[in-house]
Amino acid sequence: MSNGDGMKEDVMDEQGNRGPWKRTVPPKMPVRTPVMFAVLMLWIVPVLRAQNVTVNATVDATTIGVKEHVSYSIEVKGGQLSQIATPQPPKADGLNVVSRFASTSQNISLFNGRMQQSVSYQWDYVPVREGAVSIPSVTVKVGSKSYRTKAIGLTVVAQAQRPARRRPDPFAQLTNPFARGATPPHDAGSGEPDAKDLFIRVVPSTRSAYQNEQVTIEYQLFFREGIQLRQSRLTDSWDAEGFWREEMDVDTRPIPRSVVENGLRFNTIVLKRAAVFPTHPGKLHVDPLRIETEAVEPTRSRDPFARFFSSSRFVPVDVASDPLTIDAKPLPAGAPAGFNGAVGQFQMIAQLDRATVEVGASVQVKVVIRGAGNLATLSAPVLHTPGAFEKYDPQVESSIDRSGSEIRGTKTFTFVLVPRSHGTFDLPPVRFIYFDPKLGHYQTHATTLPAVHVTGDEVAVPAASATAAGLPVDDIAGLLTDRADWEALHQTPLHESVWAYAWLFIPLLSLGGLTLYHRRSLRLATDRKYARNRRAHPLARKHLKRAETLLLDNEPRALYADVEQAVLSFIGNRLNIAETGLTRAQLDGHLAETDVPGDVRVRLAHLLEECDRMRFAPVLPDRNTMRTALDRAAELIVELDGYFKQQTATVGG
Amino acid sequence: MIQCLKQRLMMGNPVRITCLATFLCMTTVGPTLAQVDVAVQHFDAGNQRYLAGDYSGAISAYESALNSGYTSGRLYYNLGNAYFRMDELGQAIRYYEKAHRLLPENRKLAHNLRIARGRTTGQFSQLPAQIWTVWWRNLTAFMGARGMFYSGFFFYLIAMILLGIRILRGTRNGWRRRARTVCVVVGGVLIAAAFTASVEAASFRTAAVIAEASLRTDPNGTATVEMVLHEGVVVEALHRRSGWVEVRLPNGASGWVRAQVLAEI
Repeated sequence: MSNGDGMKEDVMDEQGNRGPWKRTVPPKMPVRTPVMFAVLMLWIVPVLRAQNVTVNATVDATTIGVKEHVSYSIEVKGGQLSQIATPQPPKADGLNVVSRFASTSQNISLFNGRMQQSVSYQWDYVPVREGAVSIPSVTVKVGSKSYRTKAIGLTVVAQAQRPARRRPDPFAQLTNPFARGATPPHDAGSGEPDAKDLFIRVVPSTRSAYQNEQVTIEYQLFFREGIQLRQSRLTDSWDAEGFWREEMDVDTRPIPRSVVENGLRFNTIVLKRAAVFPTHPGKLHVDPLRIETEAVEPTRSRDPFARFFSSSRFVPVDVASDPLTIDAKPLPAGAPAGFNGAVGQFQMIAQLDRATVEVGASVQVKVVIRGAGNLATLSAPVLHTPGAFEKYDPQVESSIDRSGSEIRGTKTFTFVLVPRSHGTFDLPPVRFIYFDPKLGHYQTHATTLPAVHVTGDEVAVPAASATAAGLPVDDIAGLLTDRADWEALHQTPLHESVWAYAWLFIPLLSLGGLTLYHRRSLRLATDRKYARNRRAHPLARKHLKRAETLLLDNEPRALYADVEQAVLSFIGNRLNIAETGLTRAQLDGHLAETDVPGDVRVRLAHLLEECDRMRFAPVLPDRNTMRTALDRAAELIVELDGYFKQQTATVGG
Repeated sequence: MIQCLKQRLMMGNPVRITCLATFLCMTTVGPTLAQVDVAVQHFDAGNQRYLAGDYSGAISAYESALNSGYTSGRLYYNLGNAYFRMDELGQAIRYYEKAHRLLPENRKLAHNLRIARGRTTGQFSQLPAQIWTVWWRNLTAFMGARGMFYSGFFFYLIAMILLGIRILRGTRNGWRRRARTVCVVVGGVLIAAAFTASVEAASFRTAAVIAEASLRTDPNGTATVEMVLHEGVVVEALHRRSGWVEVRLPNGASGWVRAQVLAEI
């Protein structure tokens, strides 16, 4: 009847002590000899004394007809019978107790190696009116301590409206004298249990979580005592869209746990447990969990013979949990740089496997992140390495514990670094940033790594790790050592450089000068007057310069000849007249035509006369006389040039 | 008068002009060559320290070379290498980008720049550029403003010489006229491009992010943080205001960052 996948089982006793996923036969206590019994009791008594005491009050139904009665039980677990003061039935408003004497039952069981004792006190109540009634809480004294049960509310309806009820089967124990854990006959029940008696409850750890925060969801199957289940299985795939899911371990052969819900006793087992992580903010929905099973409910008849001969059978039942909605909140703003989505509670350790390494050898940085949270989606922390290191993608190992109430575990990132040059390198701290939803803010773990001493010479890039151009595949190329192409650091921008504009204007100016020169050359070749006029000054300077030399050489005849030639050639060139063979009177006449004053003409005549005289004089003049003649000639040339310019301006104007 | 004439006669002495020119050359070019020698010495010292694994010492030597007033694309490249080895990606990319302006065709530089960019965090997509923009950038990177100016000036000078020949000879010649026209057009375009590139380079500022920074909507510390800029991102500096700089990211987004996290390229 067990199907091996842990999701199908088919039997359960009337007390519900064996779940549909487990067939457990409680150990019996064979009492074969008084000695063995005595030894057993010596062991049992201290065990019982050490048990925790729980007191629960239950009713067999919370809704009854006005003509029915309801059984009210108080169960004391864990206490010694001798220490329990028999409780009195509480006085209930709207109910009358049938008999104040309680029917008492005692049960001792050895369950998973634990001895458990319970004592039950039961009374029957009959309603006196329709409507809501309640049985108040009762104080039970066990030893020196008092325990209070919870008040139980009931609804009394008209007899015709009463729901189908189960009655405790007084002969159920007959099928197995050891009661709990016994296997009842499969067809021992009759009828289909209603939704209040068999349901799946979904229990999330929280209904509001941050993005990527772990939310554990537990699906608990509740079924009333007495209900038997078999052939149970999940009907369709369970999904949680918008979540990253991690299945958690649940017991494949669960032992039902007895709980009291609203005064009714249920057995419960955990069907499924999962951790979900919202991948984005918003209202995210989790599908209900559905199972198919076959259930049977014990006969309602109080007649043990009718129950024994009843023909009740298992009927198929579909059970589903309620859908679940999780409100996923976005993570708070202000995440530190380097945050990569880790949410939970974590610790980080970073280690370097060695601090000294050869160039080209490898060194490992192991980063271990341990804690509870989204370990599966956790990405590697950013490891900044010096540029001299080649860094390879980290090897990732995960160890996740799914057995607890939340996903915990360890994720290890192993970075392999290969130094390509020698030196001492400080590795920056490894930083891991996560958001702690319990604290509500971001946390940063940083681990400082020791410096790495890289020894040896820089190795040439091996062929396998070089490009076709000889450049390293995952490293920078070496230095450029050529000393060429230096330039000023703070160079004036071209558009602000005067030289740039000067270089552009110089050819233009040169071209202009060339044009002027060309025109002047043409004029000198074609305009004789202009040519002589332009030649007047240079020629006069030439004669005077030579006269200066002759003065130093004390050559008076040649000096006076040059002085005369300087003056006459200047006048001839400026007035465009042939000075050779010109008489003094003709010369004076030309000067008079150009408005040269009389005193200037007289001084000129005296100079020319002195020149003629000295060139042929028997007695040579002294140096002062020659100097005076030279100076007078220069002054006259300057004065005459002024008068000639005035004349030219007058004629031109 | 005589003295005046004598001075005028003395002006054209070619020996004195030659001496004067030599003196000017010695006083201007001489110190320049000496400064370049100092830069080269620091450059060599930096290379030796780098090869010895003393990267911080290499950086100091390279920066001394820069402080001498001279630089080269190779100096920037080696400085980028040293910063890369020191794991300062922002500075490494900054100097690689500087070197790229001077050595646009260098394969090692292109390789190193790619490696350094690959190590950065939070890389940005690049807005697609117009084809002519790409051409213009390649041209300016290849020739530079001065290169274009010198090339244009060469054509301009040839055009002037051809025009001078035309003036001196006074005769028209078909091929000289066509060559003159071509030189004027090519020279004019290149010179105009040179001045355009110069103005653009002076006004267009790029910078590298050298430390992690928050890009904010406004230039104050309480403005909304739009994103976190990581070391090595190259941005365009748009405006500066009291310790803050408005930048445009490679993907076109813009915002304000503190000025101290930027290093001008």
